[in-house]
Parts: sequence; structure tokens; C-alpha cells
Amino acid sequence: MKDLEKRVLEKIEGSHMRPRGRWRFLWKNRLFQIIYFIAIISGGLATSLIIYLMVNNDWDLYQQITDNLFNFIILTLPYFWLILLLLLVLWGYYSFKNTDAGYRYQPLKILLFSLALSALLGLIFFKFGLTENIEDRLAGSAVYQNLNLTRALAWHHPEKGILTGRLIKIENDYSFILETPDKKDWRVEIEKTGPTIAREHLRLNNQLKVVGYITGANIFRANEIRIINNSKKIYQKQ
Amino acid sequence: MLDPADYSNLNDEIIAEKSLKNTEFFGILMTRYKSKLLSYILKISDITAAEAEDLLQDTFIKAYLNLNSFNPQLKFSSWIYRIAHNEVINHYHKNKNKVSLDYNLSPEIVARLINNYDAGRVLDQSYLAESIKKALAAMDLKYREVLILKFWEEKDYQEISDILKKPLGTVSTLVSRAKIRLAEELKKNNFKY
Repeated sequence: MKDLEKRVLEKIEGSHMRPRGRWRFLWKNRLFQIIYFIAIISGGLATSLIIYLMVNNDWDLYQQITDNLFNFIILTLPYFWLILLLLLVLWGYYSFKNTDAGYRYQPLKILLFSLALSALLGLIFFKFGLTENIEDRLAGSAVYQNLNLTRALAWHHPEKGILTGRLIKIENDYSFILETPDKKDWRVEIEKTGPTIAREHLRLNNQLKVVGYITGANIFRANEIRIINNSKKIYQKQ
Repeated sequence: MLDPADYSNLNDEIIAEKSLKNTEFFGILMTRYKSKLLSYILKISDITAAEAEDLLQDTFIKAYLNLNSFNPQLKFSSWIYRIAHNEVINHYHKNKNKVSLDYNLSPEIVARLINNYDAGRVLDQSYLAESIKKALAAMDLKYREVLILKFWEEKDYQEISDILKKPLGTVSTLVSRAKIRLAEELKKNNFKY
């Protein structure tokens, strides 16, 4: 079989074959490592938003909409961020598997490790206040609002004293119009004798949660107004 | 061509490095691995000897083209076995023909296999060898290949992991399951042990 060596070497020389450049293999490995890193960082951001939204879930109000805490949690979980986190972890897993050493690790270990790393980063981002900035920037986006529609709808029970919606018009110091998740316009009124709402909190497209009662057809009197997903009170009836 | 005997003191990894600058060194690697790889290809695939030689040639060409991808942290043999394995898998997906498999079932290899079972009495070696051949032919490729690598090629679990690009734990599980499958196939062929 000396022929085999001769045949192969002749083919190599005849076709002017040369070994592919080392950079090509190094870069492929490096690229997958970078993608994994991006997936984990993004997973960390998603986790931080999950933590932020659950911490600021207005737990003091839940009994107004349901008696069952478990049901409340299921209704208000941030599904968009949970699904995104899952997809990012899977993306990270795929990238890790394609690195040179990726095959050495069991799939479950890679997934759990990636999830743990994202969770740790998420906690760090949350602790350092990065998440509030992100949520603020996203809150005004119609796309983001649509993605969080189930959460908004879960809270929207005007008959039970809670109204949620997007600020679409400021009529005066004592009333404004919200577009609710079911695409209806509601006027929200506050006491004319009490304090007004600071204008910096009333920006168009802000998502608000109003605690109060119905006073007429699509008219709601506010006792309390909060920025949704933030629990920040911007108005409290005296 | 360089005489392989002149470089017998150099390990595969050094020869591979030299091959990047001088293809004749690659010839030495081919001489060292051609028999082992041809035998391996024939054992895990259901192809003729002629097809196996073609596959072997493709393996060596691929190995040459990808020499710069060889990671010195691995053994060279694991790396080139991996290329041969991938070529067989690619060929298997393209041509799913069934041809009889040929195994060298020397008494040493049979003994190695049987030592893994509680076979206190192995009476008829030739009958046993024939039963093992039938049993292997009936097994899935993923089980057959780990048995071949472990008992014929005498690779350890780490090497098998590097060749098949599977975690160590998975290799261990595959070997265990392969032995169980082999035992089941042997029972089907009325071999009692």
C-alpha cells in the first residue's frame, strides 16, 4: 500500500493543495466564544428585567384583582423576558457546543451553567440599577407594550378599582386620557382640591396604573397613580 | 519519499508540525496510520475494501488540508481517527447500502470482549466469534463504533471522547449500553453465557 501514500501526495502536489490557514480555525473558535459571551450578557439583561418586574409587581394591590396569589403570579409573570432568556440560553448552548472544547461537556451542564451565569449577571445588573434605565427606555415603545400586553391586561380591572393604560392625552392639570389594553379610551380624573401630578411624570406613552373607582362611562376617579412596572407612586389622594 | 524508519523516534505531533512545511513528512504519518485507519473504517462501515481505500484517501487529504486545526492538546491519533470517523458518517448518509461487515475476531479480541461479561465458560471460540460478528452487524452504528474503538482499537474513554466529540460521561454510557445490546444480540443468536 505504498501506492496510497504516493497517490495522496501526488494529488496534493498536483492540485497545489496547501493546509488551510490556522487563522481560519482560530477565528471560528473565537467567534463562537464571542457569541456565547454575548448570549450570556444578554441573558443577564433579560434576567435582571425579570427580577425588576417581579420585585416591582405591586404585590400590595394583588388582592384587588384576585384572591389567589398563585393565580396572580401566573398572570403577571414577565413571559416575554422569560421566553427571551430561554432562547438566549439555548443560543449560548449552541455556540458553546461549537467551540473547540465544547463537546467535552454534558448538554445539561452547559445549559445549567449558562443559566446560572446569566442569573448571576442579572442580579448584578439589577443591584447596580441598570435595569430601571432599560425598562424606562423600553416602556415608551409600542412594540414593547404589545409584548407585555398579557401583564397589562392582567392588571386591568376597572370594575375592581384598577385601570391600566398608555397616556395618550393630557387634558389639564386634573385629567388625562389613557388608552387601555383593550383599546378603549378612559378619562382619568383627580381631585381638583388636592395636589396635581408633577408634569415630569406625565409623559405621553407612559404606562400608568391607576387605583380608584369608576364614576361614569369610561371615566375613572384616581386615588393613586403609579408608573406601571415601577411601582413608583406619582399621585396619592390626600 | 522520506523513509519512515529514519523518523521513528519522532512522535506524531512533531511529524504533523513538520508536515506543514514539507508534505513528505505527511507521508510518514500516512504510513503510520494507513493500516489502522483502513481496518477501523472497514469495521464500522458496511462498505467494500475498495470503497474503504477511497475513504481512507479522502481522510488523508482532509487531514492534510486541516493540519492547522490540529490541537496539540489532543493526541494526533484521536484527531485523525475523528476525521476518518466523520468521513465514514458522511459516506453512510449518502449511501445506505448494506454489505456484510468484516471483523478480525482474534482470540485476544474475543477474550477482551467476553471478559466484560460474566461468561464463566467460553467453549466454542469459532461459534462465539461468528455470533459476535452477527451481533455487531445487527447493532446501531453508535454502539458498534464505541465497541470497535474500545475493544479493537484499544482506545481509552478520553480518546473515544475526542474522536467522537462526545462528553466523557456520554461515552461511558454508550459503552455500557453497547455491551448490553451486544449481550442481547448474542442471546438472540442463542449464545448463552
